Amino acid sequence: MIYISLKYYVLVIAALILYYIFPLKLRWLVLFTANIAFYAFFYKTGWWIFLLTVIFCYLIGLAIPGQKQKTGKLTFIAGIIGVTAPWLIIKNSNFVIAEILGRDPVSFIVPLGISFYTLQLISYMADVYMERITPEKNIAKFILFASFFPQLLQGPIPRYSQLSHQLTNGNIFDEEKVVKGFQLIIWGFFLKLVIADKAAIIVNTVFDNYPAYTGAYIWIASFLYSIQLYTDFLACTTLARGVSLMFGIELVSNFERPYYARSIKDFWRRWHISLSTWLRDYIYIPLGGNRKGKVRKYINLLITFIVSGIWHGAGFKFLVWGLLHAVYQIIGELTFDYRESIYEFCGIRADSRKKKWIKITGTFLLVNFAWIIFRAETLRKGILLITDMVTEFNPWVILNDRIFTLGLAWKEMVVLGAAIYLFHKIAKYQEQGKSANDRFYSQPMLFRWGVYIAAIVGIILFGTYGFGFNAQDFIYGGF
Amino acid sequence: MRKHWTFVVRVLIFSLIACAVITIVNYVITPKKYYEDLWPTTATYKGFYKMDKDTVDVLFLGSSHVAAAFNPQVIYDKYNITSYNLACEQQNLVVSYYWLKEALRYQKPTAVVLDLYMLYTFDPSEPLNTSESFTRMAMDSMKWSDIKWDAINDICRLDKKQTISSYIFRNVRFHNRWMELNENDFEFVILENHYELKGFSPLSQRSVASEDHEPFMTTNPEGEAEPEELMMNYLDKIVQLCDDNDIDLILTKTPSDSWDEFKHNTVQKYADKNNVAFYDFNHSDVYNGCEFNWVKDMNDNWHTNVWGAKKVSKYMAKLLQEDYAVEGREYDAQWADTKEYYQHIMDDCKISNTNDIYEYLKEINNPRYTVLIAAQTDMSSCLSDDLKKAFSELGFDMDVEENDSYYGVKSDDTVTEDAGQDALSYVGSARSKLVDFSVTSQGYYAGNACSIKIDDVEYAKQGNGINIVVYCNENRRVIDSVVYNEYLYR
Repeated sequence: MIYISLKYYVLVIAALILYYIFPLKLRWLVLFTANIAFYAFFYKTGWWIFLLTVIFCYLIGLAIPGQKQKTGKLTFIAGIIGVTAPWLIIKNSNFVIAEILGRDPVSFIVPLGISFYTLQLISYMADVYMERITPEKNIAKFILFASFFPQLLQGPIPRYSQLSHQLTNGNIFDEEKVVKGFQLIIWGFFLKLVIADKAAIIVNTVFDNYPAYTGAYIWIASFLYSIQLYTDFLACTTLARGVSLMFGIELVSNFERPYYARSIKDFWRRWHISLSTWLRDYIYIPLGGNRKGKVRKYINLLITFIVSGIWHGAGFKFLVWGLLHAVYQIIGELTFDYRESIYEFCGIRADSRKKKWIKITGTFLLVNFAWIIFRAETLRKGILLITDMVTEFNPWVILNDRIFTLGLAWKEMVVLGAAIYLFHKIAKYQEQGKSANDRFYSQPMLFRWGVYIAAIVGIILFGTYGFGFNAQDFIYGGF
Repeated sequence: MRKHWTFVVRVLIFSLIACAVITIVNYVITPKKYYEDLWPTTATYKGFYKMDKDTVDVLFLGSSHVAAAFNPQVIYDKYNITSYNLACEQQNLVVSYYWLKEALRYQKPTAVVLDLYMLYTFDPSEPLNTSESFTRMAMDSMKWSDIKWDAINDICRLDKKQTISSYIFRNVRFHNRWMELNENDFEFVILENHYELKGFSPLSQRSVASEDHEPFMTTNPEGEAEPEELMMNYLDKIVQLCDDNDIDLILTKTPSDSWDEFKHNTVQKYADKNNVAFYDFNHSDVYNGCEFNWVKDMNDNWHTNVWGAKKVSKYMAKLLQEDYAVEGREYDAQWADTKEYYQHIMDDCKISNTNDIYEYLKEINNPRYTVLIAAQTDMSSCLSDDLKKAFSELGFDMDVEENDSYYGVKSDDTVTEDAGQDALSYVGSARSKLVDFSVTSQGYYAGNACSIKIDDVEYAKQGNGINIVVYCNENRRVIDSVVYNEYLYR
């Protein structure tokens, strides 16, 4: 909840004012101070684990260049082990202790965003080792890179070459960037409070009370979970991008309308892009990628998605979820020609809208099934939920008022439906390669002001938060 | 650089506009209760701020029992004492304490009358002994000051489910009310000017309370009840506050079935120890002293009706004047000018207790009322020539045959009626088209039913005979719903 809290935006506003008051060369110091303030306000435990890891990574980064190849490699491997160890112990040891050894789980201190900054630091060391970048010599500037507060907890996972100079060079005031950043923040709040958290009410009712709800209920809840997960994650990266843009810093876009993907491969080009490209650049390609034959490619794919599954969480369900996506892709590739011939047989042209929508729908359904396993309490429950979806027949619950017993009154359902429709329309616009943010910025100021105020009031009234609601943490905030 | 400054100015202007809009929206969505409600909490507190400074001599504090029991108009009319009733629904002693503190910023009362119903456990599931929503409503009406800040800090400390931010940004607490907003939520500017009764809640039911209730006498002076510790702490604070401000504190308990001798004894001992007075209207001495009649003077077993309130108020006013030297004023327009309004309220209360239909028709013949009539089964058997004549004075012809359906509406001095064997219905509006209603009537051959809905809420008693609903245009509420059967019994 940090990124939608009042305290956070007080910090952002104070930092913004100081940032643009300070001389250009010293502006990075304001960001550095803001990071410290962020930690002081929100980071009550585990900060020392984070700090030690960052310092260790900094030293490794300094040690690698100039060493002989073998020593450099050893230093790099030591760096990887050192940076990964806290994450492995904190995030994964309980899986071994509880699930495999059957003992009581250990309560670890969990530094916020550990899964994200671990990948960020690994990519830094790898880039230094592969001489793509020169290591940062100024420790304060390195800490600033590793701890940039708007993206620390939930990404996007930045690369040193893309982010560091934006943080340290200082950015001149650009009204366009500030206003566009503000627009992104409003959009982020809309996605989080009006769509994700509202959908979560139904999702939680169905998933948390299994097997009370079956059949059509699970279909509805699973579709809504797909929307919830996407909008929730998109919201937090949109907020991160919005706040950063106000400082003149452009973070990478983490999503490109993933539910418009026409294949699972396409889906991973659009979903959590900073993670996908990280896995591609630091796991898949180093393993050989597709350069060593088909069998090796499929093995590499399986390994990459197993790593992705483990990164998302410890437990068999995450492993299966990752594997499922790899299997989807392998089967997709193996059956490509066969499927194309079916389209041809049915008279569906290669460039037709029908084919496009069949592919989009098919991909979405496959992703949706995988999300059920991702969301379920355990792998077993996930499989049972999917089984019940296809074996229990109760479509009447959609037609009678039973659907309104899942936690949302009909008026709130209308709001959720309208919000999803608006989201879809904007996504369609973006799918044409246009930027809704740019388009809106080009509107007359008074019109924009009217829409800003209407949007703020709309979010205030129709959002899901406050008394009587269990405010949802960002789903990816737990990683 | 100039470009930067114009940007800053634009940001400031936008922020001001956005803050103003959000403040208005937050005010709209905050629950409010005005004079159309039985317990007009918002009107009570907003009205208090509109009283001239240092004109209120006596303050009443406590729960709904007090809101229904002490009538400042009666007290002024009879004894010229200027008082204000700051009680509200489920007012716990934390709220009483802070509202007393707040009141002292604006008034210098000679005496404060405090009811102690909430000294004992009322809602054990609530950290403040009463429902959060009522505490909120009382506190949301308070102006911002260091007193309010202390109050909400205290409340949020005691009740962990409440947050300080939700008092500042009310949308945190009430944003979901967008689904239930009504006319009052938007008309607050007008409605906040209606505080004529100065916190008094006029209840009109009679002969509903238990017939075998008796006031208690002291039989076991040693028996005691266990008060709520938190409430006791705040009672101590109130005693101290009155002491510091040289105010006579009078403890009381208005007539209520949920009070007993043990509770009385505990409070009596506390009062004796702290040298304050305690008048218990449930004790036979005071009960008989004010000539209270449980069945006639109670609205239910816990609240007095307007007639009971008259007795309780006069008794207390007499005490205030005789024992506490509250002298009263020669003339104060704030109380003198509301006499006529109070009389209207008394007329409204009388209507719901009038059994005789001839007298009833005379009472409802007033432009303040919208009258809606619907026949069910057969009403012709009720209609003698005399009764038709009485109805005609209201404007209704009542030209019906045996077993006919019939509806009649008198609104804004316009009468609409129809009769016939088929089912009849009529949709119209009252109060200059601000409130809509529908009336349907089905006589014996048309289905034996009737309905009188105002703003889509059913008010008809739906009995055989003449169903009448009286809506008061002035107070925006239904003041009576009645069915007269063939024997003209209510």
